[in-house]
Amino acid sequence: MKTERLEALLWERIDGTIAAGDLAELEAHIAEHPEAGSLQRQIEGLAGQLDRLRPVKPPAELKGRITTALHDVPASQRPTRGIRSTLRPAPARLRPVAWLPIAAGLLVGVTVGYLLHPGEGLSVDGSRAAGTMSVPAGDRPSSTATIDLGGTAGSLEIARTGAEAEISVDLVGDHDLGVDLEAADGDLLVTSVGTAESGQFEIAATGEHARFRTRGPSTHTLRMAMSSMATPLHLVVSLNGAVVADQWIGEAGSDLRE
Amino acid sequence: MTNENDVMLVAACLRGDRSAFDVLVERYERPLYNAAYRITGSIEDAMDATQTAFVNAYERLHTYNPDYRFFSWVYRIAVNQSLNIVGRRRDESELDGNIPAAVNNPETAYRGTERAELLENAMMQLSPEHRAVIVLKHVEGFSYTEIGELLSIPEKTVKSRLFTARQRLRSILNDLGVTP
Repeated sequence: MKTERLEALLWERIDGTIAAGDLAELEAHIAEHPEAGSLQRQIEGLAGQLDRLRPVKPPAELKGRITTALHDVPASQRPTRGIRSTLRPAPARLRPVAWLPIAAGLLVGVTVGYLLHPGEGLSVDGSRAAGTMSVPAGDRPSSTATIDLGGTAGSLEIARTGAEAEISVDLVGDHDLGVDLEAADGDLLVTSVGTAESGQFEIAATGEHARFRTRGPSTHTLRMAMSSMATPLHLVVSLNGAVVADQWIGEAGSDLRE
Repeated sequence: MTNENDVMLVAACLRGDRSAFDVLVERYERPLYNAAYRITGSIEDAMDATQTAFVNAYERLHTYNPDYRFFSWVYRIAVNQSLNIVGRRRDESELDGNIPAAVNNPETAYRGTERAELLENAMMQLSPEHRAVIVLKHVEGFSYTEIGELLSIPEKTVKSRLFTARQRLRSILNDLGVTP
């Protein structure tokens, strides 16, 4: 056995990663070659010394320095409430839901209104996009829109239920897609971003705005929450730099704007 | 401490609760500083690397993916920051023609040093990349897989780099007349 292989096997034995066959070979070699014992002792000695290197205690002033440095981070560089991720389950809600009682009240009111005036339905305002919109029936108010991005580019769907919305992006081919979102009254919180393909994406969310950018081919799902179900959501979709959809997504009775 | 707990602190911080991040600093200051100190070999550089790692993590907190351990994420930032500092120092030394502080002859090595100090001095003669894998494996006790994730290198590279680092370390100690 060459010295280099002997050394490698000795380290593997110390690390606990040696294969059974290699271990048998190593032990047989050491038994047959007493001179290998010298290298074995050196390596085991070095491993013992390395493992005895003790953790060092950080200087007392380090914590203060870190705290000061964090305090000095400009507001523009402090973490936002947006997230960036891949293939992740929806995390726990990232903000208090103090508005839930209000939303619940509105939900009851709007549902009653819908039952009294079913023909008027739950609306989405007029779209400039070359897409179609549908309004599903259901016992909770919701609005949906499907935006056709064109023959080879794929599609984008948005489904809003109460104060929450989900956008599904299926981008086919090599295209740049931008989605800009704005909550008209109050905060917009992106609660999760998932991607089913390896496409890169960026998302930035601050206050009432969120901006999502990706390049195809890729498939993404964005989930978001607004302050209340009455909050209109402004959606602008651009494909390769050109706006293909600019519309408000809202609930029946909400103040939808062009 | 579970990663779920860390993720909750991250979420609180993203809601604007800065004190939640202070808990994470308190929790991981020591291991980050240790890695930085072992890689840079300097208290001041280790403090700089640890501080910068926490600040960078704070500023990029929205990019943290909770599918992975927060500790691994922030530790990786600290290791990379430490390697950057050592790299910059090495470039400056080359420009200045200075030799990095380390044991460079047996007489210096033996003069009043303990065995552990001798080993630490010998480690400082390794390249930063070799020193990093030694620290991660022997001081921190990470597996090959974890080291690969922390340094963004394949597991196979971790093994070969660790083998070379250990071989080089043993050679340095032998040159110093020290049998491990």
